Amino acid sequence: MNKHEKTLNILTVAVFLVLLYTLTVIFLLKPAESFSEEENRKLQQFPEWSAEDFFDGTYSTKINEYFADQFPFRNTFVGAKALVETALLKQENNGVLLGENGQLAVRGSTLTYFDEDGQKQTATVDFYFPDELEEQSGYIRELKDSLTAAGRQFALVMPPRTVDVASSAFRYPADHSEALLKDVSRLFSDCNFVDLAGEMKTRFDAGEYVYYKTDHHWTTLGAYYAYCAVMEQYGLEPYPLESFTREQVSDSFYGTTYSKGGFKFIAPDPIEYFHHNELTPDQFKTTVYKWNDKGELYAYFETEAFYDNSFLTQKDKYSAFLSGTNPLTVIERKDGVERPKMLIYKDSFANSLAPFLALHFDLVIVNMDDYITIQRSYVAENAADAEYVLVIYNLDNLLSAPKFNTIKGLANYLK
Amino acid sequence: MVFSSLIFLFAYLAVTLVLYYVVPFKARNAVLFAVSLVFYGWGEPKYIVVMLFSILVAYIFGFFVGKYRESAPKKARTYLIVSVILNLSALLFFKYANFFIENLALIPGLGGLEPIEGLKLPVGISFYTFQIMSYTIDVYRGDARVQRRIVPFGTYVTLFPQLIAGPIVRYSDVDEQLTYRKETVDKFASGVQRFCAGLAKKVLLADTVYVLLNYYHEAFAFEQTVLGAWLIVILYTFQIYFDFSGYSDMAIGLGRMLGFEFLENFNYPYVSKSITEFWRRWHISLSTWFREYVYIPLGGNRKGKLRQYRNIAVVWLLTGFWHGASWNFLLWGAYFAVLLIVEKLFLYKWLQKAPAVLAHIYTMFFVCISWLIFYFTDLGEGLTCLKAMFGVGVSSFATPTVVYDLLRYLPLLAVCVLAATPLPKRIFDALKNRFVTMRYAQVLLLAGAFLVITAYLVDSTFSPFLYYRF
Repeated sequence: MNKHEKTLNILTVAVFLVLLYTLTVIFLLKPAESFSEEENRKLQQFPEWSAEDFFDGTYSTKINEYFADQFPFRNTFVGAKALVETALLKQENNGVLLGENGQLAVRGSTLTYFDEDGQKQTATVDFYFPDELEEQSGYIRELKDSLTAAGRQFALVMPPRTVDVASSAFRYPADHSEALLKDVSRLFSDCNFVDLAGEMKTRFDAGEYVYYKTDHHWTTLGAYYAYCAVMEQYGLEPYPLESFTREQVSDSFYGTTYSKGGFKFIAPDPIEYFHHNELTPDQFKTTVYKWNDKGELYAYFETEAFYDNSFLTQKDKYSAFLSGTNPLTVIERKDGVERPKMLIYKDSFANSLAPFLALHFDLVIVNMDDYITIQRSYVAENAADAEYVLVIYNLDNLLSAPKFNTIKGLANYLK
Repeated sequence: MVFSSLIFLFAYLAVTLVLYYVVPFKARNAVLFAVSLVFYGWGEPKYIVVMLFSILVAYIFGFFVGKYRESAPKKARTYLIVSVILNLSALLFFKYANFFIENLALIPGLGGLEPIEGLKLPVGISFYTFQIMSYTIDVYRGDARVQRRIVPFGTYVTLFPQLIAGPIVRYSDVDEQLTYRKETVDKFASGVQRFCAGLAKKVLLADTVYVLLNYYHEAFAFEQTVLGAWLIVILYTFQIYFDFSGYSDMAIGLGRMLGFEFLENFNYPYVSKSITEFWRRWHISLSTWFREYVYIPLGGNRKGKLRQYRNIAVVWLLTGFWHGASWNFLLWGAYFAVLLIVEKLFLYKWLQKAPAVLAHIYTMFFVCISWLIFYFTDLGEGLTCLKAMFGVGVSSFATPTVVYDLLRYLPLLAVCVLAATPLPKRIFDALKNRFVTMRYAQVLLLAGAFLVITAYLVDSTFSPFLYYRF
């Protein structure tokens, strides 16, 4: 073996050991973090020893998670991987499409189903179960019919996904998206369905900023167009765009799609508030309710207007609208002037839409989560006289968490 | 524990290397035995008992087999048979009991049979059972010496590099290394290179190919296209090769870091020009094992053509069944038995004379189909995929999405094709001989690869919790 070879071997071993032990040592010295903003979740801490956990394997699972969660330079490594994937021309990372002008979109939805053996299975694909869609439209039809019979005004909004709206920004083919949109239009056509997909798409293609690039939600402008379409459905007149003053409240919003995709080189989104020129924020009061330990609702946050600006300094900036996702939110006029009441069953897309609707209605906003049955009692007491009912549930949720069955009997609670 | 995890690299390996090298040589086997038990018990400690039982049986019986081998061959034979039965029964029970119960329950009148609940396959049992058997049989045949000390023997069986996915190391191949082996910087360096190459195959190729494979497998229930079905089979063909051969590379590399030399387990199987050749290049330690301990004892090719074909059939049904307790693996074994017999009959001779391209296409086609049988544990699903590959029952030849995915994966697939041939190694070696700087570039490449692999490993644990839904 010649001298070169020997030096080279020593160098190889040295480089390997230095890399291995540097990361190990940094890991050991680095204090454990408790929360990841990027991932929006608590991180695993060093688990407490218990013999039981050890023998059934939970202890080692927790150690594995602890190791993964607390690994040094975690976000940098995640970004590096996305970069390598991009260099390999994959055009996607972790199921997120990378499009023109830094536009991101989640590619598929996670469907849950039961296989032949009755086992619960999931599949993250860009497909849907037509039978499931039809079933869901049946529930909405039932809801619409019973509400109409009770003399209430009903409308359904199902915000399209980014991949539907911004399809022109991606090489990813639009045929699956088109098939879904077509089926949804057809199945929900007699459900007072406010079909926004076409309009949002046209506006996006015309260069309007209707959906965030790094987040799955619509922008405030997108929400404004949705507001106009909803008003139209109810046969009411929306305020024109000119009656609002737009304020940019953040220029550094990195949303959920950004977190998932790991493309760290993407520019952030701005966030805007639209202020009505006459109906100023100080005329409104928003009360946000949360669950306490006993499973009861309590008023946790009250504000003038509709925003919780504390979120603007955190990662999760979209939560500035209505203070994020909460079981119940009530918006009224401060001066006690009575207006028609609107009951909204919703997902987070409603958070940026609600400030527009609040200009016309007193709003009772109920989250479409698993506690929906408990909230019924609140609705029966406080919103039984709601003249308007709006359901807003985005297409991804329709596919991955279909639950219109939980609200189909809503009319029974409205007296 | 798996090699391709952060905890293995930055905790287990980091600690193991220190422990191993700070103790004097005499204590190194004991260190290896201890850390290997931790490696094995990580996740499911209770199965350590099963493994220790198997080790003890082989150790004790091996001792008696050796003792009576010359003085009382019949006694030795009895000890061997009992030892093999004991070892095999653990494997049979954990791996095959429920398969037999479920299938017997299909027979009218036996419908009351219930599968044993909570029966899980102890990791690596198929591998270490075969290793242990090789020891007792080799001692009986006089191919290996009796190992009188339990620690080196336990080390042999539990040696973490090859414990859970091979290669299946025959006792006679490492006998001497267990008593004496020399750890050197050169061996360690070549171990590092080999380990990183294996890790790269697993993490950068096999796992990334799997992402698209998994998508198309899940999507297959919704939409069947010809191209989509081919994509599943081709992606799996790459995944299983880089996954498995990557694992063997890592095992061999880790072995070298600890001073061991294991035999090669893969030798570019996808360049083969016949199925016969393929099986000389794929999972070599398994086919060697079956040849040594089943095929040749059955008479091999020495007792006439008919017996030879029977022996091939027996070996391949067993090989198939060894891979898993499921009908598709038996079918997979039978499939290769037929192909190998047909090649023995006449085809192999034809292939020798045929143009290399044709022979290669023939081989890869049948290899791909074999992976289809292997991949779908549900025979019905496998058949649907096979039909779809040839245009039966599909909605179209391809959808725009399949074309899109195929195109964006082309660079990776091109890397896979190249990496499955000896070409990159040859080019790299040639460059290294020509330019000294290339040798140093190799070190940089290794460092870069290691960091990229770490990035992929970190990313695989990255799970944004998007509670935005509601």
